[in-house]
Amino acid sequence: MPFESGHVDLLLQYVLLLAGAKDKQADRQLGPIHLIKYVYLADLVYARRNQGKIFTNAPWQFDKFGPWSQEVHERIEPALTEIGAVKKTLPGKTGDKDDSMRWSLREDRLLQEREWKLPTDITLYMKRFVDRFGQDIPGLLDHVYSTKPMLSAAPNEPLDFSLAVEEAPSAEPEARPLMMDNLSEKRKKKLKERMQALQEKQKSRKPKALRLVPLVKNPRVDKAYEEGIAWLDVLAGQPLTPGEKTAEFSDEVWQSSTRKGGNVS
Amino acid sequence: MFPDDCIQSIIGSANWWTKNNEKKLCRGALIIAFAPHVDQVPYALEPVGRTDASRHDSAILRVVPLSVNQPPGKTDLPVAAMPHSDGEVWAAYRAKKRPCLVIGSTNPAVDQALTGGMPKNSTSPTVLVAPYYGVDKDSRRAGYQPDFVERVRHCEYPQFVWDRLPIGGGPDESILRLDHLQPIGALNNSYKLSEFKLSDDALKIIDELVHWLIWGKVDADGLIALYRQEIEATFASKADVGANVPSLPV
Repeated sequence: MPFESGHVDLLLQYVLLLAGAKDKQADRQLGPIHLIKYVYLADLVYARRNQGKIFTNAPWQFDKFGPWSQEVHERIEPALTEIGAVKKTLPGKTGDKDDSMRWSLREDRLLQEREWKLPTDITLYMKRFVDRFGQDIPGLLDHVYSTKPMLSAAPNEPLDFSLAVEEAPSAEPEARPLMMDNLSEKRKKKLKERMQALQEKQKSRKPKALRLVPLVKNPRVDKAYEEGIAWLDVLAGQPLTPGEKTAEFSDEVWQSSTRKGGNVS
Repeated sequence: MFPDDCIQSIIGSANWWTKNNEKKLCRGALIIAFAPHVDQVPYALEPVGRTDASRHDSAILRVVPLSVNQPPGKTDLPVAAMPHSDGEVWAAYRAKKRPCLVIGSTNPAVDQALTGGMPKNSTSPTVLVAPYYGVDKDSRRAGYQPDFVERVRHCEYPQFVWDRLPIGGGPDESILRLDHLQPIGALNNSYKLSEFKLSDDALKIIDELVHWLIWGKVDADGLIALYRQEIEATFASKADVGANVPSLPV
């Protein structure tokens, strides 16, 4: 599938115009890192409802700041210049040109035009993403790192958007049959009677007389006990020491089920 | 094998541990697993950022005490290797390969048809185990506390159970930490079966001890209560605290 530079331009312009509709001047400014991640998210939400097909046909890969496409990056300047966006260079901390560049444009009519040209599968979500993350690079990166194509790739690998398909919420959740709903009226009545009988039984039930006793009334909590507990803890090994540590990740981390396991709620 | 003053001697040395001939994970099985030592103040691993912004193979982590009121903050440069959802943290515990006693293994496998689309870690089967801490008095390891071990052997504290494990090459004595009851994964790579399991009679005693820990009381007519009566009658003159002849049922 050929790279759709027109679609990329449209997305870049739309995202910048969405940010441009913000109240505060500072919130309207986006840099290349924001723009690329928002285009990635647009492709992701599009893929969910289109069998893994992406809107831009960009060759996305896992790069140093997550999803990256050189082709998309190269479209930023021409696409934003075309709509007269303002380019500003900030004093950079890292020396990275992208890090110090910010674009902005407030133009309500253009925003509406671009919105009409994009699929609703995309526009529906992009407003939420720009509202939620705005200029917040850590928050935006944290979110894209948790998306399925990223969780299934190692650094420098291409991203597979077909993995996003199963995330698609179905328009109408399929109703699951409940056993209670399928019960005949006769059986429902019988169940109700039985449950009432159980209620009566519960009321008249006498608690089973268990002969329970405290085994040791006053276990000795003294010096010997405290030393014993401390000694058991020593057997567990040296405690962790607070502070900063450098962690190195094994190559197996990227394909591990821990990364792909979803949240632990 | 077992001295006269321990609960195991009632069951008999030859009848406490038996061979796990079925080689199955079951209640009472003695297994080897990595057991986290759950400290009173756990730690959180807070990804602070990357050592090099352009690389994902390493990161700087801050080890901080984990407080429910002060969860780790957000990092300037997220670490892709450690994704986490809102409200989650990466917690760190020391873990050691230890003998563990399987207390509960009846967690049924969940029908896959019912778990479609759910994260696997919501339904992965687990077993409930308690870890043994080795007490090697021969090497006087890390300040052996004979008086404390004797109290544990006499069932003075509900959270500890003294035992001798049948595994060769291990410490002479061990303490089962019922206060460290914890789930471990029931997948094959989470544990290793030993050749041994507790006998049915031994398991009844462990069940009584677990009951004591959870409910704070035991059956007045149970073996543990009768055992404690004997211990207190024997050692009352030496230790006048810790004594409790089971009296009125509660």
